[in-house]
Amino acid sequence: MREGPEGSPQNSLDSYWARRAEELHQRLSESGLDEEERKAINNMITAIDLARQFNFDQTQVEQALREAVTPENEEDLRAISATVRSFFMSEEFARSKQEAVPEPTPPTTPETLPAPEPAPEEEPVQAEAPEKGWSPKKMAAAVSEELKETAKEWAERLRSFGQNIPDLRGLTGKIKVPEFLKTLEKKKIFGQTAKDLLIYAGAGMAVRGLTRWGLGAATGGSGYLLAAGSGALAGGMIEGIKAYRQEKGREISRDEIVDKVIQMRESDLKDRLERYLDLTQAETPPEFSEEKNLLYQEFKKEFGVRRAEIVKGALRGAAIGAVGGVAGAYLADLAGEYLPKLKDYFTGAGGKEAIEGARKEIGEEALREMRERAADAYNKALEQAVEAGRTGLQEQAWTGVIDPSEGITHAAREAMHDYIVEQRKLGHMVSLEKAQLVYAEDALRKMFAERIVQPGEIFQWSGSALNEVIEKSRGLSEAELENLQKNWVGKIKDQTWQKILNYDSVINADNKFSQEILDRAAKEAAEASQKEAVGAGRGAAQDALLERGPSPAALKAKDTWFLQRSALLKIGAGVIAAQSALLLYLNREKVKATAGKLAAGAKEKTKNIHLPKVEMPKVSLGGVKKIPEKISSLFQRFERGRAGIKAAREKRRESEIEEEAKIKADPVYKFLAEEGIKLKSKEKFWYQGIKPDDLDKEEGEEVVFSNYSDYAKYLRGLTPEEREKAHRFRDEEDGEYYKSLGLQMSDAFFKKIFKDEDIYKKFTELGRKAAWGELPDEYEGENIPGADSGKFERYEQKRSGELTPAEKDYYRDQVEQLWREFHVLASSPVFYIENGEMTKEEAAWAWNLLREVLSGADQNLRQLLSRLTELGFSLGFGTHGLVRYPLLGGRAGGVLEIDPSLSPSEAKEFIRNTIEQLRPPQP
Amino acid sequence: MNQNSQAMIQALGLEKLPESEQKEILEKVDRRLEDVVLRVVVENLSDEEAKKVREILAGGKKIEDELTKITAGVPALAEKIERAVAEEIDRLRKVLTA
Repeated sequence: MREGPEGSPQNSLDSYWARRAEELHQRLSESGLDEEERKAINNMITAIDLARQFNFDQTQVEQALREAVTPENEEDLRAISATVRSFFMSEEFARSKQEAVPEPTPPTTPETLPAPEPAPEEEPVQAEAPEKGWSPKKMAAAVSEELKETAKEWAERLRSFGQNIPDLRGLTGKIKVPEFLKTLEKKKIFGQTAKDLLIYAGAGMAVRGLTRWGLGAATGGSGYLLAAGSGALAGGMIEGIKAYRQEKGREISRDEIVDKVIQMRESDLKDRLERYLDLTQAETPPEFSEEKNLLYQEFKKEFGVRRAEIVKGALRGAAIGAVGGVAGAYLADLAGEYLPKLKDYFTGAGGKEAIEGARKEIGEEALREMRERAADAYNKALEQAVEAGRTGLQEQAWTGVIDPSEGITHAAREAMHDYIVEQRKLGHMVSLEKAQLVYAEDALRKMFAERIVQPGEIFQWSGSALNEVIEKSRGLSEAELENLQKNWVGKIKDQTWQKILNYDSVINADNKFSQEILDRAAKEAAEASQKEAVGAGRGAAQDALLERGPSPAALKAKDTWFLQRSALLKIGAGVIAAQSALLLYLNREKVKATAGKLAAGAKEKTKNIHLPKVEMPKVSLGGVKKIPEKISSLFQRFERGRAGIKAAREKRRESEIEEEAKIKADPVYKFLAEEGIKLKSKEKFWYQGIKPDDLDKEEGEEVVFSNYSDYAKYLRGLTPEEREKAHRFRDEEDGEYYKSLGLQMSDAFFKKIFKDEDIYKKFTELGRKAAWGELPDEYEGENIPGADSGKFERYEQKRSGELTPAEKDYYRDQVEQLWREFHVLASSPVFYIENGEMTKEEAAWAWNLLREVLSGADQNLRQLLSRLTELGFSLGFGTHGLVRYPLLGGRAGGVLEIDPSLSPSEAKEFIRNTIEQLRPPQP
Repeated sequence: MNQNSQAMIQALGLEKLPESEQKEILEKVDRRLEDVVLRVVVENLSDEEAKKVREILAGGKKIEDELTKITAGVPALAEKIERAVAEEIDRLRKVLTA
């Protein structure tokens, strides 16, 4: 194994990958490969690129490749997996990886995770997002920060319920990173600790999601949580032991299948397995309802990518739920520890005896699991029920009563106040400023016609109307709020304001909906908790009384099976994908340089390439979250960019009209029309020249023209000597290859022309004349001037000036818009224009083509593009010689160059066909 | 064969088989274990949730994120899935080593 320059494991691994890529690129350049082989090699290159970029292991690459394509049939998926798997299963790969990575780095197994940094005694929770991406300590700090915020909210809510529960504010200071880390380390989920899962599974989503799922108490509050939960725990354990016979019966029925297969005495293992699988496939769990059975059968029918998505979604959700449960249990334990008055709620005073009994019989570990599951069920059921109830508030009628000497405004104020109170009791901490409240009650007043009202008269508003008014009040401008504050807020007495802003209880008893919702939610939660505890009790009873339960070997295999699917467990795959895309975007220059080196490496066989280390962007928890905010702020500038849009559209229209006219006047197109030859998308031709400045160099860059008029203009810009040089130009880089001037054609076009000998002869002659400029430029109405005219203008790239701020904004908005609409990250043309690599017109043309291709894309193509972006491809722009192509920048198989002469639909087809190349050969 | 697959091979008692046969069997075992995962998921959904998932499937929408949202709210689902998968591995071992 060759070592990297610094001898570091990473460089060593990179070196290995680079060598493999180099070999594959070399093989690609060999002649005699058929299309199938070429595709297979391209797949391998894709796999290597993924492995290099993300330090992926085999499973992750397989998964990523599954996502890279969207095969509707199973064949593609199988083939691509087989291709990649064979590579990763190779001894060379295994050996090299082991040698290359003496220190654990890949994020897939507990053994290979980096050791956590020693926890300090006192770790202050950081208020800001971690500077470095993914260290365990930083991650835990961020998670703790979320918990802290939740604890604060919890405290607020409990206080507002008026319960006799001490202030929980002190709790927030008790949350410590090291302690929380230890808690996360204790819990194993799908073969990984909760900590590892958080760290490597896209904490962005998890951090925000876990607090939601873990803390039902925070929503419902008021001490319901474990007062009922403790009963469920104790009852569950008792019921679990009682219910073990029922569970045993179910297991036996399933084991009958095993016995049946064993009795068949199939000698061949595979036959025996097939027999078992056939029988299990036909099996329907008897306890399923009709609805569940239908779903189960549909699940079983699914195959290919959709099945992978189903399994992924299910496991991801289960993992999120489990991480949330850990966080919830941590906060609950903390509350129990530091706030003794709450302890009874959490340990279950009423169930203490039952718990003690169960502890002796079942054991501490099983009891802990039972308790966790019961509490988890309680939290989730409570939150779901409360959420449903809160939504239901909008359907209620909210009452306001007219007091003596008051008007409709007073009734509106009452209804609005009570609506806010009830929302807050259900965990939605609605809060409006005085000016907003003034607006809201006035808006509610206007919903009724002006008239004289009587004291005691009742007015009612729907919850949705109240909600709508609240939303509108939040959208008031600064000036509007200032006006309300100045002219109206002061007119309401302080005493009245005190009443309005006191959210302890409702003013009108008819508006008291929350208590019923909480009662119902608590009941449902208690039932869910009981059910869960019973399930846990059954399992514990089986293990304890029947001395069964999975064998250690099965448990180990189970863990590794889930670890192999660690890519499936990426919580918030979208977040990870966004980070990957962002990483590539921020490191695009390095990636570009790497690609260049790789290409060079393929030619210089002996040269070993060491990739520059791609730096992680400083994103982490807050970074990704901030993307939408950035989008919003950029969107606000959209209006200002409209002028840019209009101008770009105009220019594009002009450019299109001009090009159409040139094509119409093109002698080759005319010839084809006369001969009745129609071109299909792959049958195309173009004109080629050599960049004038390169004519005296060893290497020459081509310039490409879509029509004869542009090519003629190029020729007119050359002196006779230069024209001669251009015709004889031999690119040293390409050895014997002459870069021929003039008409070029695709293979498909050549085949079409070659079919008819007569046409082929005519066309050859036409091509020769075109190459030397002997045909008239009918569009310009000019002939190519003779060698002695001396009136040649050099061909130079047009410069159209610098971008205006509005135009820059326009492109920035466009980039963000592409991100929002298609989830693809595009390089902004601003960069290329400012670096003089594209003119404004070219950028406008290319960008519009790109947009058009995307907007016209069907769902399948959108999905393909989105998947490519998730894998780190980025849509962007590039230049090729003096002619600019919109590029679909690919890291693995080069770039997709979209011929500028293609129509949007042809470009779309071209992209689709090219993406198809990423697919494996058909078996 | 990588380290992770080795654990499964040992658990299923396939050590003495040629590598090609091991691979073939492991692919089928993968599929079976995925079925087990899905069975546990369905088992723990409510009828309403099951109906919602079926509607999403029938509508041809992207199922992954929707299912994530739903299963995240199912209590102790991860534990149940893990247990069922481990039990199934034992069952498969019985079939393959009898």
